[in-house]
Amino acid sequence: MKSMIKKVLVDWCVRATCLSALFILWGCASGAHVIPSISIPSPLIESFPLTVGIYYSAELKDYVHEEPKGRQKYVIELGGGNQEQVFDTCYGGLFEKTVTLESLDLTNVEVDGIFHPEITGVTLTTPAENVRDYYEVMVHYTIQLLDPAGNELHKWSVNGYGRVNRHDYGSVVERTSDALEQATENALRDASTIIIESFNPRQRPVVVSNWLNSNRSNTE
Amino acid sequence: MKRVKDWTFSSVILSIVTLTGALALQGCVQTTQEEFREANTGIGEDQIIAILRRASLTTENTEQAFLDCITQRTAKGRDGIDVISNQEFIDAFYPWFEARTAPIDIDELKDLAHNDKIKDRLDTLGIRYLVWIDGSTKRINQNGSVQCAVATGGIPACFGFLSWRAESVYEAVIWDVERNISVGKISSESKGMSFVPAVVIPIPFIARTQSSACTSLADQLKEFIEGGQE
Repeated sequence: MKSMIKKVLVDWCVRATCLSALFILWGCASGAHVIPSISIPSPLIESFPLTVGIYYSAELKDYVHEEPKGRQKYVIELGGGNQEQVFDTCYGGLFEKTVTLESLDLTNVEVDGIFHPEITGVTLTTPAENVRDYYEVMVHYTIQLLDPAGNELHKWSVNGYGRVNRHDYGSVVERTSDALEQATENALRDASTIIIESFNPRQRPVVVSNWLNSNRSNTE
Repeated sequence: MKRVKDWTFSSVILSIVTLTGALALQGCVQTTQEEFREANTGIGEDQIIAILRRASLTTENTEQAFLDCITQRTAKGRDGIDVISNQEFIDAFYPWFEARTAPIDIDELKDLAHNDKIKDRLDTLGIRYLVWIDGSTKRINQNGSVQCAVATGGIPACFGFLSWRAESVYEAVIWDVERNISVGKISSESKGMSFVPAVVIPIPFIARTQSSACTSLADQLKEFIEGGQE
């Protein structure tokens, strides 16, 4: 009887040790692979009575950020409809009508202006790096506003920032992928907010105000 | 007959030990409350409140678990108040209550209230009060350590003593959107000592300060809004 109990205990201990080792190795080596799926609500704002085109390049639509950190590798897939969700939502709220353009060839396209966003980089910080409790993601964009002839009127730099507290993602085994996914979604939502804010009369550049007013008077 | 008596006595002893153990495992928590009232309050049957995180892009933000807890507890019970959660509210008013755009004082709320779309949405949803939650739980003064190893014979064992002090400090600032005024502020502070003695098996005695602060702040919030003699 004694030997049987001892055997069961030893078996249990070996299994527990192996499982713990597996968890530790998995935690050390895995990093994260994140595929966000953002849903931004329709903005509660007045629209400008204009029709604008949005051009999504192939690079933007399929943007993948890969970053090795030590032995870990972090991958964030920012495409997969996320970029369309960001820009269709904010420009769809800001303007009466939006049209998705297949290219920047503007012949036969009847729009008042064209927005051409691109991602210039992604900054990703983990709690181990920032010595705080946050996973942080920053998505850097440049957005060109072109007139119907294709001339650049203005170029914005937009840095969408999102972060989440690691304590909201598990106390024993941290769900790194879930945390990074939420931080990325927050960053994309923040980018959309910044774009809407940039059309606030107190913030928008004179050239953009002039463009809005000239087109508004054309429609009136 | 004697066997039945013994059995009953053992059950009572076992129950007492279990109950004492369960209470001891909770650790000791001390909670203090404060209230500062600026105006009378009251709420109609068709009105609700929004419990919102005072989000910041740079400073510490209130944990999601605390927000969920206070939202649920405020809506619970005979004196419960209907609540719209933080996420539902910020989605309904996007982009006006995001971390970078949310009003930081009552004057900024007055500016927002001039926007007809925002005013209509507030009316449609029947929102009377905005409750801004700020604060967090911190672990301080951690001492000692517990070390675990597999002893001879393959049996794992832990030895040592670990202790820490936890502080949960939260406040709620309450704005009346009907009158566009701040009606007051309540706060709750829970402190507790947690410790984990380990002699072969570690036994955690955890002071659940966050849960205690949540219960206290939710009860205080209901009393503040409903008992304001409007």
